[in-house]
Amino acid sequence: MKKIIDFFKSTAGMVLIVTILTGIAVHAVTGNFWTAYNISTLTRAASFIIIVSFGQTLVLLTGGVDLSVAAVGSVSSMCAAKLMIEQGMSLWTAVLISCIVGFLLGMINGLFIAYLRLTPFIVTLATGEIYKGIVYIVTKGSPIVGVPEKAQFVANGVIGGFLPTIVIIMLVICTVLAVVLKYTKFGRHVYALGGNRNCAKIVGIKTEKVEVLVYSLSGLLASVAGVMMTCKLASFQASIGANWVNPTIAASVLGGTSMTGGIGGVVGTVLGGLLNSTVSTSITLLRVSSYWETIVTGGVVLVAVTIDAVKENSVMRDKVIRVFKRK
Amino acid sequence: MSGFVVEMKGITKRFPGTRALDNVDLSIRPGEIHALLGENGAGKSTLMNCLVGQYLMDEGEIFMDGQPVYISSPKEASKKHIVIVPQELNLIPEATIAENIFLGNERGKGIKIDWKKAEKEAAKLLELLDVEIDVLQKVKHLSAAYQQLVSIARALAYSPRVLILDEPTAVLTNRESESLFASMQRLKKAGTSMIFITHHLDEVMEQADRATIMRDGQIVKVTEIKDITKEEIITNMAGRKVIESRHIKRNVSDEIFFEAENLNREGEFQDINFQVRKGEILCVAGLVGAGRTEIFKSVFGITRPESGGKMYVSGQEIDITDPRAAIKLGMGYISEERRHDGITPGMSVMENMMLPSYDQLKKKGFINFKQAGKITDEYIRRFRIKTAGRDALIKNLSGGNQQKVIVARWIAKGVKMLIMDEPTRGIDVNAKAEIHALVRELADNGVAVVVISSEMEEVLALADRVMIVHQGRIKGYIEEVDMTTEEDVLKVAFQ
Repeated sequence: MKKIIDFFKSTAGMVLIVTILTGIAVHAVTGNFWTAYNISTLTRAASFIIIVSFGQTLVLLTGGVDLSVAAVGSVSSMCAAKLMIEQGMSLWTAVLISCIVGFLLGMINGLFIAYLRLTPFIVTLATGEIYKGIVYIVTKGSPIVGVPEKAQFVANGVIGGFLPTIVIIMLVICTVLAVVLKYTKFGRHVYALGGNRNCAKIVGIKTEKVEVLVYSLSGLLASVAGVMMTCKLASFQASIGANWVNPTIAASVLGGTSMTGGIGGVVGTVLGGLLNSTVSTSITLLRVSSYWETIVTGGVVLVAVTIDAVKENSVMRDKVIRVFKRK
Repeated sequence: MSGFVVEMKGITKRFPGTRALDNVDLSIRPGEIHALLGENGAGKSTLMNCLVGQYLMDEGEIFMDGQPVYISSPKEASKKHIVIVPQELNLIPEATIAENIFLGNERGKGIKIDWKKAEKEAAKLLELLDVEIDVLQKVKHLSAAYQQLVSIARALAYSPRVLILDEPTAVLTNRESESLFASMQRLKKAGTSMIFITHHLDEVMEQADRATIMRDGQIVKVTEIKDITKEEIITNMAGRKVIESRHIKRNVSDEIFFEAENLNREGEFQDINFQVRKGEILCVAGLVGAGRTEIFKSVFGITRPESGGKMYVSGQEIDITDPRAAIKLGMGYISEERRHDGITPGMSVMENMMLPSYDQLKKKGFINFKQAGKITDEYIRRFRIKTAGRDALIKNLSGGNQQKVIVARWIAKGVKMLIMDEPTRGIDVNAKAEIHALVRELADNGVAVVVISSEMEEVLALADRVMIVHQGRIKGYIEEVDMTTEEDVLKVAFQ
């Protein structure tokens, strides 16, 4: 019972409440929110971003950030399309190879960050630009079309007329990651690394290896989403992943993952991603100009982190006390 | 009129679990060099932090020229011309000397900084200290000594009436110290009062006019320097304390567990040779900054000693490349900075205790949390750790209980040698005694324990052998700890 109450007091819990209340309000006005069709579309749209956000969450847990997720997703998406269409590879081989590519691109980030002690922000900013450039050079910005029908079902299919396949994929990944983070040595070391790097070293954690693996996984997850986008659209489009970076950070943070590391988790990220999607769907349902979407999303993130900071930050509390103690 | 520039009256400052300052008075005359003396943890820095408004005191008043003043921040203190040169310099390495000197105290009109004027004034301030240097150099290119002088110049930019110098000579060579003292004497002639904190008693005897000696957050003596000897100062610093934890004579095996041979690390320590026996409690005494922490950071692989040094475990020569290697050899390490290095605040008590042991707790790739929980509960009970439970976040525990968790961390891991740096700093008396009991129990079970401590009382209570380190070198050992007093230890260090 106490655990449930604690959950609703947490950022992720508040986000869930806000999501549900938004849904209820919008439903009251339009009558279109809690319909099977809407929920199905909403969750499907959200799942791609959420999968990428899982990787972002892992990276944020170590106290880093990955700005290259969009570009990695794009490279893998292109790979999958090229392998299937131009090399005539089977669906699953193409998917597997593309995901390995994403894993390796992420690993490059990790190697620079862990072994050369470079700032994650700068490294992933730079590699992100490079990866994006590779896509432009190879495709010249034009789409690659002609992905076989079968591929479409993987990402775009619906089971029982209601449950999108991509949502199942997302939930499976979420479960695996949640278990890994909570019950394995690697998972706990991720938290220890982000919680206090000095302490992690002193207790003998291979901090470098953990960090490289985390960035590799972020690359892998971005590529999974990228490949799924290729399947969904039955083609490669230069726009795939173009703006994945900010929403992934937003989803993680709304889900209660701290930007300084050591606190958070993937389940929260799902809720954060769903809130984002709910906001954009609601704006559409309410027939408000979609230009408002980013303003609302930005505002929600700002409010959420402010509440969190005042709630948790002892320095801030001390400051307030100091102001009152002064004569 | 009182005849004092600054008077602090009845200052009390409490920290959770301890009373850092207890009804302390301090009076500074115009144009005097006033030495503030005491062992580490006596409350000198806390008192100075209260004076400059870094800490808010719980009780007490400050008077300037007999008028009560209220100082709530270092900025306000400097407006009142009370300025501190802290021991930990806070210069900005990438900025120039001139920029650093006038940081937060910029010269110019409105929002525009007059750099020409600032540079000229910076040079003039440094001249006061007998330093000729290009003020447009970046601070990162300066030696530690010059950085110290820049910090002092920064303080002088506030034209201080009271200048607080916290261990200003710690990083200076003899010649540099001499030149600093000459500057201090010049400032004194110009009417500046100085509060001089140092561990070098010779400097005190030569430079200071008066001294205030502190012990355990209280004033034990205020005196003219000419009325006191160095030995009397030592006696006053050490005092006759009520010892909560008495020395117990233990039998130690002759089996050597760890041996270090000729360890060196530039700027930190030289010619370090020592042995630790199985089941022995070796206490490392000395003053803060003597190089004790640095020596054992190298032993545990956090830093690397220069080549040429050798280390042996059970007679085998070994190479400790990182903490992982040290842990594999059966070592554990408890840092003096619990918050910075010791705990992972956002994790539970259980995880903080079990972090190094996850390897042993794995079952088919998953951590066996059931067993981890059992072990944790066992230690919580045995060590009487006050916590809401094993799943409580460690940051919500008191310092003493956090420390117990960290000690348990290594015992649970089954270490053969444990290095503890200031294991009871900032911990209340009862928890301290409990931790001492744990240390003894550990040693009784054959673990080699190294305790680095600045508290003489603790050293004398725990040690089977005391190793005394001063200025990066081992100055000597005390084997017959029973007969030893705190004075003896200080004398070996100061000899």
